[in-house]
Amino acid sequence: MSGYFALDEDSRKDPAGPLGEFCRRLLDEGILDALLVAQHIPDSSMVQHTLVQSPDKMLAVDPVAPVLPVNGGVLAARLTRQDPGGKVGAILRPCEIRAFFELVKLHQGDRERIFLIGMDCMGTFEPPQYREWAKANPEASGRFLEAMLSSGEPPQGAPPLRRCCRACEFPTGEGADVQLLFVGTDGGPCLFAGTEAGETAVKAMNLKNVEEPAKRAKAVETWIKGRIKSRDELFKEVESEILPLDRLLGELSSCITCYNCREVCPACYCKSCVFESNTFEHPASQYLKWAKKKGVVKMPTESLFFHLTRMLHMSTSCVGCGQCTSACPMGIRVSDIFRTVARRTQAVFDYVPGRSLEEPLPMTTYKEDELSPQW
Amino acid sequence: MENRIGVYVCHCGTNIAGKVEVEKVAEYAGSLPGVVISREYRFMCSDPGQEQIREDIAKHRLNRVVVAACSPRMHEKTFQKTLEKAGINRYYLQVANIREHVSWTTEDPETATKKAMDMVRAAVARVPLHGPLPTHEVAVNKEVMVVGAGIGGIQAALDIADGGYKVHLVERLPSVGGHMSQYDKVFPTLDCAACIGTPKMVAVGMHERIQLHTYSEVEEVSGFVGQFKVKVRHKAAYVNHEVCTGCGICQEKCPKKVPSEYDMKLGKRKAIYTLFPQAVPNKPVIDRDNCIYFQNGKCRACEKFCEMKAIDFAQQDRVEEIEVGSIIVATGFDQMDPSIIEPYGYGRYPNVITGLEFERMVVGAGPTLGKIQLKDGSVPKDVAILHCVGSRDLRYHEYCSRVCCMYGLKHAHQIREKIGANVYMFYIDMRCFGKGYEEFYNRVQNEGVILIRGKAAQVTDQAVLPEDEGRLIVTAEDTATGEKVYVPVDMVILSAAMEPRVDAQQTARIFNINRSKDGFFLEQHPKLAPVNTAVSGIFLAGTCQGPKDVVDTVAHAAAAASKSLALASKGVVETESMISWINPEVCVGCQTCISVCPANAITYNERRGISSVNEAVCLGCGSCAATCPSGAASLKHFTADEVLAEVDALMGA
Repeated sequence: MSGYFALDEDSRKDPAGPLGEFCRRLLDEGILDALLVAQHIPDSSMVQHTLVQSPDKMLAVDPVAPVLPVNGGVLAARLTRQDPGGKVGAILRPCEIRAFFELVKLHQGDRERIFLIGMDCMGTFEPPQYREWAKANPEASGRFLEAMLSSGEPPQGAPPLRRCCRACEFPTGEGADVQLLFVGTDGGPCLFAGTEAGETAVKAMNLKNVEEPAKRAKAVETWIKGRIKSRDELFKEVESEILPLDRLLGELSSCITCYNCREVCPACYCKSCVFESNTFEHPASQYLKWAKKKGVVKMPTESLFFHLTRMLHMSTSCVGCGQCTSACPMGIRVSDIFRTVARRTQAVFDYVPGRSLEEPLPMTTYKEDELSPQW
Repeated sequence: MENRIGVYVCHCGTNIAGKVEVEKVAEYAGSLPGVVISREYRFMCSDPGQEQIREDIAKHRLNRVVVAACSPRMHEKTFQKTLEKAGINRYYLQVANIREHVSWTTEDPETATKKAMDMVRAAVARVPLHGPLPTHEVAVNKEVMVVGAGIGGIQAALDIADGGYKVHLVERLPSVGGHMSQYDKVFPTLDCAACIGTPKMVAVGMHERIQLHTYSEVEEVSGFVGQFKVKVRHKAAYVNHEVCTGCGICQEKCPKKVPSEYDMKLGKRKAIYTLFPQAVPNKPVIDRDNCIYFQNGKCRACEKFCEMKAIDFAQQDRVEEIEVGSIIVATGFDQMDPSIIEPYGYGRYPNVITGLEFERMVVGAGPTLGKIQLKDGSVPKDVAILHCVGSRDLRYHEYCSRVCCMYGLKHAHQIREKIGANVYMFYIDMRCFGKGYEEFYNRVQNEGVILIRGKAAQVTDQAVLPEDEGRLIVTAEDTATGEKVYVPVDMVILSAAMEPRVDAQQTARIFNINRSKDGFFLEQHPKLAPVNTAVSGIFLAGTCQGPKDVVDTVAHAAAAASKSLALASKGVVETESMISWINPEVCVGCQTCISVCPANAITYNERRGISSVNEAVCLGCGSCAATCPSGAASLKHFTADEVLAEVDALMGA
């Protein structure tokens, strides 16, 4: 048996169709008790994660809609940290699965308690741009998928992909029980059962076993190659244009300390951030001392320290989902900066966040040679 | 509460004052906010120095004290006691280390003075934030474990048991006795080792408060000072020692002979064996790898002849958990295998032997019944003794093994006395520093031993003169005359170095203790804490800490015993107050702290979804506080507030 299964004959034009049917059957046939899946919000073009328990509430399922309002890794963690009392599944993008894996390693979620459905991710738009575009374009997701698969670019008139998505070298649903495949599959999406649980599920649904799509491996390779090229251009650009210290200070100086980046970051898992404590509230005289030292001090004083601390705490777990950049009201390229820095911190420990649950978090282990430069 | 800080700048003789202008530092300290009195003094740690602090606390109503002196490792406890005596909490003290961090490490006096001021300013900024930490006591389990039953372990066990406390004496071999039981005589008095050693071995076996665990090894140590839990593996002896009378018939009847490790393979033992006739306990064990029954299922001769039906081929290893209050590690040394020193030909020439092999040869009850002989059974006419084999040699061990000069001289004496052969000793220096050692050296010199001051270059069988054919030739440069010497002999004894046990690293890991550069276990302080380790409640005795002779081993072991006795007799031990704390309101239960805690002091509470610190086990290292991203884990006395106040003050003049 190949591990590959046909999803449904038809229609690349309306992936929501067969995908919706697949999701409905998961609940209908008792394979899952509840499914976390992106759906259109009634009376809105926006798409959000929903936890569906009743098959007849699977009305506007659209997991391929190019928008990621919330990194669902956090939601998956929330659903599994304790026993959810039922069989829960989730359709997640690769960066969501990888974030979830990081959270599992941090004991914030439990992989055993969730059935993961991954997918080939074509990338996403900035949420406000998506909302506007989708409003004007019915069946937007189908058109988007079609265009991405044929040309590698969003359809005419659509907004550009987020920079983080273009630089993402992990676009497939690795680590999931079942993966939805679009790339190199010829004639509609198909499924790949990546784990025993995945195989048991698709067999229970009597899906038709098919050969491994002949063009798949090559197509994925080319696809990832393009992403890596774009990623390396990003690193180069950020390293020369933002990371030099004076530039970095400039970029971060527009921060309004709203902490949105932290709120949306799936790797920022603390119940209460150290920046919410009184650690950085200083005696009034201290501020004057600082001001006196250089003649002037920027207020509040801790904004730069906040970004550096967050970088220190979570850059090894940064999966590059880009939520921080999307959430920043000041347009700071938080994600681009973090990914570029994280590339080095991750290289030091030979660590790829979310790659495998077997890989321990760098801070929890010690290897004699781990701090020797790797770049 | 108003800050009333006293600052005390120590000269440390000229250690600090020779570089730092202490008067200026004290004057500067007086100008800092909250400081009501600042002084400098020659030795703050002296009685008058401490008295001054106490006086000032009373007179100036000080509520915080900063001492700018040496490392807090040296005198933090001293000054904490000073504060306590004066009636304020000991943790209201902060030490600014202006000796190790300033005067000893900063070249320029002006820079040093400025740096000392910076450090005092930082301490003054931090000390008002200090909270009064409570102190706790935990009960000490009065039983003690001694690991290794050589002369060091035996001495420690006897001292503690005689002091009234129960001892678990663990030995990996089937008998107590260690290396000393292998020797014939011991320098400088030439007592017979058995005559002075055996009574102690018997005493250990008979003592009502010593529980022997021979043929046993420590596998795991957990817990902390006062409350250690030790897992000991009792290896299967395949002989029921409860019923065995030690009659010896099994050994007589066992058909399988193997070279005896105890006799340095100069003699044989059986597959069922005791180490030596005076073994304690005098009960045999079966060497499974060599037993015919275990190898091919036949034989069982021992079982057939054992009247007590003590043979038990089904016996299994048994792991026992023993709880003790303190542990003495007395695991001894290995003699270096000199075959790696290729020019000396050990392993290549049969009559090149080690000192320990000679000991077994010269022992009356040994494999040659005390006959000093060559491999062909003949008596040597000329013997060379080579000193510093593997010791004082950068290629092998830089250290001096401390015993070889003396045992080499003893061997020379024994050869002269027993067979009258010519003895040539090749040495670099004669290090005879103990009581009666120099006298012994003189005595042996007067016995006609030929001393050649020069390290032997090589041992060969390449005779130059025809009459030396078939003999061993030792060449060396006699540094006293500058001449090259060429000495034909029949036997060469290599005074091989003492080494750390081959599995010392594993032992260190089990006990969580450190090793020094030479590989021996590291004492807490080479002079002032020679039996302590970095782990409170684990002590060192004898050669596991470094080369020692019997004299020093016994003294070292008695010192270790006194440490265990002190703990047991006081019955309680104060736990560290500067330990970690996890704020349950902030903890998110990620358990990263657990993975970095070296003491296994943190546990996760599944029900509450948070982690918490076991205060008795926490070492206060701060790894958890450093790793916890939300700051839920913090180290008392090193809280973020305290450290940041210090940093802020350091950064801003």
